[in-house]
Amino acid sequence: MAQDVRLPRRSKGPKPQFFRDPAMDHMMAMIIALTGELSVAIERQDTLERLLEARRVVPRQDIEAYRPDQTVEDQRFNRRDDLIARVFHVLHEQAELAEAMGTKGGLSYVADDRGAILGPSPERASRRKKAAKASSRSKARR
Amino acid sequence: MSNIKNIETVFDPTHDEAARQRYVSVLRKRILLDYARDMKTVYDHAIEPRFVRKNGRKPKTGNEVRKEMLVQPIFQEWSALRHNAQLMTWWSVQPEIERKLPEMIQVAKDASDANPAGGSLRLDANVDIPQTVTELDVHLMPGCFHSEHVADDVAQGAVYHHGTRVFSGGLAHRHRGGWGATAANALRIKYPTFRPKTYLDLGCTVGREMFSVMDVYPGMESHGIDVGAPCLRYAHALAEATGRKVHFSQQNAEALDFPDNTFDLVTSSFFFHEISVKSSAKILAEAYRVLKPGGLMINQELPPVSLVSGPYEDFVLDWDAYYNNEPFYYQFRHQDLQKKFVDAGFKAKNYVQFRVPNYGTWSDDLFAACVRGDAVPPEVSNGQAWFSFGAWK
Repeated sequence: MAQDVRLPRRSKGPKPQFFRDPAMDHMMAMIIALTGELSVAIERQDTLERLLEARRVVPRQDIEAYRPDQTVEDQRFNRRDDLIARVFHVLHEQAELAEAMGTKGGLSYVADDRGAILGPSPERASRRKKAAKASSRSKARR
Repeated sequence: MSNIKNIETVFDPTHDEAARQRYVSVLRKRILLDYARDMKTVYDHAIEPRFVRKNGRKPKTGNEVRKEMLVQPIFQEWSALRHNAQLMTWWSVQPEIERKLPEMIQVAKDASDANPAGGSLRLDANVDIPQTVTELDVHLMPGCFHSEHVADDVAQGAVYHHGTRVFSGGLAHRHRGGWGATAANALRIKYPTFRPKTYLDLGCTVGREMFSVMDVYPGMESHGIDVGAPCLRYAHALAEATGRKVHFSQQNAEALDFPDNTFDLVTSSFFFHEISVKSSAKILAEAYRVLKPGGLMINQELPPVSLVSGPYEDFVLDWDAYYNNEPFYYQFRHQDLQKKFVDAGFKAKNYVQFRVPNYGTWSDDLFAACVRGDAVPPEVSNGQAWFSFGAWK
């Protein structure tokens, strides 16, 4: 019967492994799905809030039946995008670190045993700290 | 128009299902635009300079870039995001399709019986479905294009149709254009005397791209072929409900049952990369056979290695070959396309290729300027521009 059809969830074909430890691939899958559920929960709460604003008692069916207009949808798009940006900020942070390493006086970085570049080297960091201290001392003297 | 129900509207996500779909759409946008940009920044500021320092030169190939990027956390994380978003795309539409399936099947039957647009559907249970479809779920879509779970099934067509809308929900071509409209409008401007009367689309799935082409060249006798019956049933229902007369048939493009010299126009969209080099040679030869003299075959794909901006773009475009169950993408992109057409029977001087911006995203003037070669379109990625290639017979 068509009502009993359960579509397959697994896709045929080799499963990729992006990380050295397969558990990391699993954790990424969990985090990405979890973020989705959080996004859903936030939208549900958003619906509830808008309705509570409009009336004192909110029937359950009203949340189910709620369909956002374009204004609401635009606001929700921004909120969703923002949520994703915050949860996955670590990706953007790597771009910021790479830019900070820069080319002034050459490339100076920390890498792991496989050659993955992780960030600016400590000597460079301590040179920056020294420079920052020196500049704040000279500011205090003025 | 007709008074049969449009199968596309038999789709009613719950509040939370719709929210889940929208999450995946925005996530896809973030992956292809924002985080792709961040990954390139890491490459430009850290990875490439280190390579240059070590080797005295920049990377020459996508593979050299890939070797550096494989161990880099941002690539691993970006890839995990992209892979999971792909799977979640399909998962986000499956539950409501399961609920609505009996109604969808009935709507498809009604559309076929009423037949208001005058199109047709010809299925063939003995069609040779290639291993590339039966053994690998393309784009990680569980069940691929052909699986049938129940009699008169349309589920895989619905999953593909609604899933691809979620997939591109955050991107430019979601709302306007798409390849069909873009290529057809480019042809209209580039070849103003070309007035095709007969048309064939290869690997039509649910018919969306061919409908856009038909809108630019109305009145063509139009045919669509695919190996997947659920997609064809869905496509037929969609065509009839939207007043488009299309004759759909279940065929393998390597062995078409049309006579020689039948079609003025043959198209395909994101089709060739899913096929082996050997198989695509056979398909091109068939296309040549069924084209009328003076007819045009035009296809859309990601651009080949020879036409991208550099090894980094190559590396990015090869991602689908490694991780999206599209193993032929790498081979496809490393071919000499013009030579392939010559091997199929076309003349070298009749080969055409062009890259134009997505139709409707920018102004009509800019679009026409790009078609004429007076302006440079954006790079092909994320639906901002499309690469087309083909030949006249």
